[in-house]
Amino acid sequence: MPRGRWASMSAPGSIETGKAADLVLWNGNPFSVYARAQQVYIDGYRYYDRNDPQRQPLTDFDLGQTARGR
Amino acid sequence: MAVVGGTLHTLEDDQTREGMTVLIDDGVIQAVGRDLTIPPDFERIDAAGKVITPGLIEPVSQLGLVEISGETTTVDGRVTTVTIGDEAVVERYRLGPAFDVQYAVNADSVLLPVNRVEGVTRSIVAPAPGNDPLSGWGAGIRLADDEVVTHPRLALFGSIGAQSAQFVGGSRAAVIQRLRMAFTEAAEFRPGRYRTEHDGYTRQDMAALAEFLRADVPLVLTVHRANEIRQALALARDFGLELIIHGGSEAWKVADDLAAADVPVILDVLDNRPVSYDQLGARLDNATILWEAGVPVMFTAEDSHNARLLRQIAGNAVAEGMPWAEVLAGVTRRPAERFGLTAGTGTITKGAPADLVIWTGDPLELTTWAERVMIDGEWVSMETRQTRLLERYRTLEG
Repeated sequence: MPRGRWASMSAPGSIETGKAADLVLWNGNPFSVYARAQQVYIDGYRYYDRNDPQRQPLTDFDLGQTARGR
Repeated sequence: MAVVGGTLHTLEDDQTREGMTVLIDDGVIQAVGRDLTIPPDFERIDAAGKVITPGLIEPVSQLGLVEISGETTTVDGRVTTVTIGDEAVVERYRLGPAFDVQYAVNADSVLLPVNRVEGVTRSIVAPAPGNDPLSGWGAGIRLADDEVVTHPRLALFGSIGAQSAQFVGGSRAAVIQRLRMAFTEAAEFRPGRYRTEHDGYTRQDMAALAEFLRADVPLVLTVHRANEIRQALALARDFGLELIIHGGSEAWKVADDLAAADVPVILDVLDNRPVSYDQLGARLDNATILWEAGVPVMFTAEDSHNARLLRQIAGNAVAEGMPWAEVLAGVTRRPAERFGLTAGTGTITKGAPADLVIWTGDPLELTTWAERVMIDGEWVSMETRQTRLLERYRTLEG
């Protein structure tokens, strides 16, 4: 499995000075079935982090259910 | 025929072999080895730079039983209760566990070519829940042009959960009781003495259950909730049944019990959301937890029209931590062994049915495709209704 780091982008479609800071940090080629998003940034805020349970979305419905256990 | 070179995954072990030759004749793999002498009359296929695996096996589908799921005249995969107005009518001779899908499998289904050109060569086709916790007999099929049904009555299918509870008055407990009563009665079944009671099994259904108890075939139960999986394990233990769990969203909670009983789980890795109250514990790494505990895992796409997504589902199990070779076995050798298909099916070994796929790369990768697909020694046509549509509309004149 490739272990390179890839960055992709949202609406503005490029990572350039002055554009929206929407970024995904991958653990490999994002087109690979083996790739998993490690961190997701929207407007510069880290909404998701695979290694940080505090930064993984959890709905009220999921809260306290056994699968997530948080 | 000889397939020469490439990267070969025989599935007899988890090794990768390079530069091998596979000799095929009479629908069967005759030899696998290095520097084999190729008989002069054998066609030679150069697989250099390619990846070769056994054909993929989808362990639970309705291929050939359902053409358009929303059009009831093309749905033959279940026997439901007839409703007239709002009233459900329970008919006296409606088939329950005696229902047998083999008679409806449509060899001309357009679903067969669409899935086989992406490497799916065989499937177990199963009755869907219809009017009873036990839905009937499944069959082993090959995705060929003819003689599609190869292994009729190779497993009995059923389900435990909210849907199944609706068939018996609404409680999951009643499903378990119904199954226990059914197998208790079936063990003592004498055709001449059996009298159907109101809402009980007909003589035909009871004869089917008695046949199942005598036969050496698995019972496949679609069940998700941890408690019901435990109930299924207890049922299998008490009645000496060979159990396979299908679905198994919460199987990870019961992994050690499943491993101890050597009960396999057929699952869709991407079925990881709490889509029903049976599946509140669904999670993405279910397969990995099961594998770590020693449970035999198989994969399903849960979609007959897209059984071809099987390798994508399997690839996601690798992404979640299962070893690649173990995952490939879960869509080839393992379903063949657990459902009792012809010996060697799902492997590329001497004497096995010659089902193989030549891929452009790693078969579990989304960017890989199948270049050639062989079923029982015959290359299948790579043309499908979808490729015909593509050609028709590839260029739009005017």
